[in-house]
Amino acid sequence: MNPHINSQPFIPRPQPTSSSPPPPAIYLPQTTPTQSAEPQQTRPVTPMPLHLGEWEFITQPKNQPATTSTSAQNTAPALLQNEAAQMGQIQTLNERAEALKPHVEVVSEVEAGIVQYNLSQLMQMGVTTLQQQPNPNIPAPLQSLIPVNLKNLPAEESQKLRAMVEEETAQARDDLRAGRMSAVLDTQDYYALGREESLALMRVQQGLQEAGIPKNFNGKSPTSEAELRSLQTLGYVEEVASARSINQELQALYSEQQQLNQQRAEMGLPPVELPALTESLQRMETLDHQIAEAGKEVYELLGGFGSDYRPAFSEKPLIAEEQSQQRPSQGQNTVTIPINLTGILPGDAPLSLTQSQTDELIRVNDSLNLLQGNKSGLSLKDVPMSEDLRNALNIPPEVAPTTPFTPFNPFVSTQTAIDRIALLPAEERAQSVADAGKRIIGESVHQSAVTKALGEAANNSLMGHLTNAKNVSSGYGELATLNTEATTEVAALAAQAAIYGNHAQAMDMLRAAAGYTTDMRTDNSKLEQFELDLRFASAQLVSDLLIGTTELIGGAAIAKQLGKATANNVAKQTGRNIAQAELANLSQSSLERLAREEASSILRNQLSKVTKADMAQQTRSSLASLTQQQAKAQGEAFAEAAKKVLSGGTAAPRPNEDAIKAIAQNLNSEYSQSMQRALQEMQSVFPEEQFGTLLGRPKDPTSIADKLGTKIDAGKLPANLDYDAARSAIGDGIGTRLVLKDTSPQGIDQFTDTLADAIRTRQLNVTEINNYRGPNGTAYLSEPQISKLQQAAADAGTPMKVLSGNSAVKPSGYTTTQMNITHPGGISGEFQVRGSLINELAEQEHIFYDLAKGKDLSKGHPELREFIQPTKDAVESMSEAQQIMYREYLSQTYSHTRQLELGIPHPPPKLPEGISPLLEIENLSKTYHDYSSLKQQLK
Amino acid sequence: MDIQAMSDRIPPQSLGSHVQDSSNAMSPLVQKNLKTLLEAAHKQLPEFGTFPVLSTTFQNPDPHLYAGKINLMIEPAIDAKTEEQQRKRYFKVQVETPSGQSHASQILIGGDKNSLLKSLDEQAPIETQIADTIQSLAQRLAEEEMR
Repeated sequence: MNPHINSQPFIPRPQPTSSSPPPPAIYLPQTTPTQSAEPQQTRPVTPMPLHLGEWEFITQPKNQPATTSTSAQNTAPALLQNEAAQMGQIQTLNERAEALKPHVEVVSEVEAGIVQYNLSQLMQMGVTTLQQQPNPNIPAPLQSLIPVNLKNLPAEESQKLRAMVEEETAQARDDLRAGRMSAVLDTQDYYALGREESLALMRVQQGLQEAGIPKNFNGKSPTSEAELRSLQTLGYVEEVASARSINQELQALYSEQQQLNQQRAEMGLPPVELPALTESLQRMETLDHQIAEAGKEVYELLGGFGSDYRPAFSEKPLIAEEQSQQRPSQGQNTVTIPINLTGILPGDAPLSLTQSQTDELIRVNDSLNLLQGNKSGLSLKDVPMSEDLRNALNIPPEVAPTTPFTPFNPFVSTQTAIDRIALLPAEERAQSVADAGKRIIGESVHQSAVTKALGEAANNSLMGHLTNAKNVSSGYGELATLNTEATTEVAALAAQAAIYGNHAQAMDMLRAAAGYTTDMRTDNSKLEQFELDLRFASAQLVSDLLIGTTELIGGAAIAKQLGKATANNVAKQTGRNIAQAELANLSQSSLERLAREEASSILRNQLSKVTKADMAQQTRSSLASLTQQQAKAQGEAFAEAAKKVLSGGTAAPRPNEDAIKAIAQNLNSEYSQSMQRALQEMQSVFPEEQFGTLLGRPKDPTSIADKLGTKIDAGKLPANLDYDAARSAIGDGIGTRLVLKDTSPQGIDQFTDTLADAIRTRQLNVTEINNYRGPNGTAYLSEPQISKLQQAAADAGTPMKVLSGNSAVKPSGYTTTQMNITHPGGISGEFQVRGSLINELAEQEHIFYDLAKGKDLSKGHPELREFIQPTKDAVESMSEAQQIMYREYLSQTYSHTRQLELGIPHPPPKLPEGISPLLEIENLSKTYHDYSSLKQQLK
Repeated sequence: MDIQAMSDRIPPQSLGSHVQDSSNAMSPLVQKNLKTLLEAAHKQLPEFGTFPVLSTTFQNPDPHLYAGKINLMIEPAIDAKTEEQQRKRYFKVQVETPSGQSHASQILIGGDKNSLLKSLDEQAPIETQIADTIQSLAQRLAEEEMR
C-alpha cells in the first residue's frame, strides 16, 4: 500500500447545528449515488392523499383561491383581528417545529446510516457467496476471468438476497413512519440459512429490537466504530431513544397545522406554513424515497426486475390519517405470502370487517407468513382466531386441520417454539420471539463461526472471518460469546500460523490454547466470562474448534512436505535440476510461500467437496451427540494432548506443588508488606476527602499459586520456577481501587488532571490503560482524557500502552478504568477506578454469577445457607435462554447505573419476564447487604 | 524532556523465532512511511500551537502478526496551557487489530518540533524502535482479545 498523509481533524466530528445540513444520502457500492440522492421535486407527484408532494400544495395552494367563499363576507379589519388572534398559536407551533428539526435530522441520519449499512452488507453477502459458490453454469476456467457480478449468483441465493432486500427496505420505511430505529443487520447469521429462514430471522431480529433488547453495534455503526462513538458521545443515542416521540410530535404538529388552516379558511385567511415542519417532513420523505430507491437499486443489482411494482419500493404516503404502529413482522409491508381464500370462504362475497376484525386478520395473516404460509401446510382455517373473526369470515367453527403440521421451513422445524410464537397474539409475541431468537441466533452464530473458520482457512483469510464471527458472537448475547471467541481466536491464530508453515508460532498459539483451557479448569477467580466457558455450550465449541485446529495443523505439516515436493516439481518443470542440497538453501520464505499455496489448494479442494450445509449439519449432529461431560472431557483431553505434543511427547513437568505454594506464600508476604506503602502512595495523589475511598488488597496465595501453575502449564513459565520469574509473572500482586465520589464530567476531569500530574512528576508509573465499558455503555475516561495521560507518561519518559476499541467493550457490562501500575519496589499492581454506584452494582451482581456457577455462598454456615437458598433456587430455575436474557439485563443495569452516575436521568431496565423478582437488581442489592451483614455477624 | 532517556526505557522485546521474518517484512514499510511522515512534518508541522494530526497508514505486511493497519502519527499536546506545552509534539505508533475494531498505541517521542524531527531523522534506531513497538502492541492486542 502506498503511504499517504492524512490530515485528521484534531477535534472529533462537531455536533450538528440547527442549520439544515444536506439530507442523508445512501451511498452503496457499485451503485450510482445520484440515483438515490435524486431531488424530491424531480419525482412525479403521486395522487395519493396527504402525500408530501401534495402537502406543499396544501400550504401553498396553486389551484385554489387564497380565500374561501366565506372570506368575501369578511372585512379587512376583521381579517386583521382574526390574524392577530392566531399569531400566538402560529408562533407556538413554529417554535415546536423548530425545536423538533435538529432531532429529526439526527434520527434521519442514523436511520440512513443503518439502512446504508444493511443494504451494503446484503450486497457484500452476495459477493462473498459468489466467491465461495461460483455459478455452476459458468465454465470453471472462466470463473476467475469474469468480473464479480451479483447477477451471476446461483438462483436460490439470488432469490434469498432479493427477498432480504425487500424485507429490509419495507421494514426500514415502516420504521421511519413509526419513529423506530431499524435493527442492524448482521449478515453472518444468514449464510447458512435459506430464503424463508432468513426472512424469519430478520423478523426475529426486529422482534428483539421491539422487545427492547439493546442492539450492540459492535463497531458496525453507520460508517465506522469511530463514527458510532462520536454519535454516542454527542448524545445521539438519547435522540434515537426518543425517535418514537419525535415522530408522534411531527404527526401532532402536522395535524394541528391542518386544523389551524381549516380555521383560517373559515375565517377567510390564507393558509400558513410552518417552514421547520416542512423541512423536517421533507427530510423524512427524502430519506424514505432514498431508502426505497437504494433498496430498489440493490434489488435490481441482484438480478431482480419489476421492482417498481414491488410494494416495498413503491411510493406511499409518509403520514397517513390512521397510521399503523405495527412492526413489519406483524403483517405490515412484509414480503407477504397471500392467503388463498379459495375453498375457505363461500363465494366471492366482499368481506365487511370491523377495524378490530381487520387488525386480527392481519395478525392471523402474519402468523401464516411466519410459518411460511401455504408451504407449511396450514391455511387460514387452521389458525386459532376469535369466534368473532371466524364468524365474520364464515369459517366453520370446528374445522380441524386436515394436514398434519409439518412445517416446510427447517428453521421452524428445528425450533418448534417459533411455531407457537407465530400463533400468539402480537402483544405477547415480541417477548417470546426474543426468547426463541436468542437460542436460534446462538446456534446460527455457532454454526457460522465453526463453518466459516474452516472455510476461511482454505482461503487463507481466516483471521478476518473469525474476527467477524467474534463480532457476531459478542453482538448476540453470551450464549454465543461466552469467551469462546477468545478460544476461537487462539485456534485461528494457530491454524493460520500452521497454514503459513510457521511451526514455531503455531506452537506458541497452541500453548496459549492449552493454557486457556487449563485456565478454565483451574482458575475460578478469572472473570465471569472465563467461568461461563465451563458451561455446556462453551465446552462444545472449545473442543470442536480445537479439534478443527489439530486437523489444520496436521494439514499444514503435510502441506509443508508438499511445499518441498512442489519446489522440486517446479524445478523439474523449469528444467532446473536443483539438488536436494540446493533445495535446502531455498529461502524460508520461498518454502513457506509454496507450502501456503499448496495448503490452500489442498484445503480448497477438500472443502469444495463438502457443502456448507453439510458442514453445519455435521457440526450440529456431532454436538447433539455429545453430553455435557463428554464435551468437557473432549476439551480437556485436547488440552492434555496439546501439552504432550508441545513438550515432545509428555506433559510439561510441573514443579512440586509445594514449591509453587511456597513461592506464592512468599510473594503474598511481599505484597502484604508493600500494600500499606502502595496505598499511601495512592492516597498522597488522591486524598480520600477529595476523590473518594481507596481500597487495596494483596493477591492471596491461592490465587497466586493458581496463576503460576496455569502459566507453567501453558509453557509461559519454566518448570523450574524461581522467585524472580514468578514475581515478574504476576501483574496484579497489589490491587488498588479508587471509588470516585464525583463521577460527573467535572469530577472525572479533576481526576484525570491529577493523575496526569502524578504521572508527569513520576509519582505514579502507569504502564497501561484499559478503559472498560459495557455494550452501549459510557466509559469513565474519554479518548482525549486518555491521550492526556499518555502524553503525560511520554513527558515523564515512561512508555504507556493504551488499548481502545472493541476489546475494551465487555459484554457483561463491566465498566471500570483499569491501569497497570508499577509500585515502588517494582511490584506490578492493578489500579481500578470507578464510581460508587458502579462499585456497589459490581458487588451485588456477583451474587448471581457466584450462584450461577454453583459456588457455595454459605461458607459452611446453615444460617447463610438458609438465607441465600431462595435466591439460589431462583438462579437455578432459570432456563438457558433466561440466563442469557438476565445477563443482558445486568449489562443494561451497568449502562443505566453509569448514566445515573453522570447525572443523566435514565429509565432502569426491565427485568425479563419469567425471571424471579428476587433477582431484580433492587432485591439483589438488599440480598447482598443482608447477606454481607449476616456473614459479618457469623465471623 | 529527555528523548534519549525515554528511548532507553523502552524494554527490549522478548521475541519468538518468527521475529526476524517479521522485521524483514516490516522494515521497508516502516522506513518508507517514516520518510513520508518526516517530509510532511518538515513542511506542515508548525513550531507553536495546535495542528491537525499528521499520520501515515500502512497495512501490516506480516501474516504472523495480529495486526491490521498501522498508523504512525504526530499529534499536538492535548493539554496545551503553557507555552512549553504549546510547543510539544508527540510521535505515536498505533496498531489496529485485523478487523480494525480495536487498537493499541504508544507514544515513542515527545518534544518540540526540532528535537522531535531530529530524533525521527536518526533513522536506524527509531526504525528499530518502531518495529519493536508494533510487535509489542500487536502482541498486547492479541492477548487482550484472547481474554
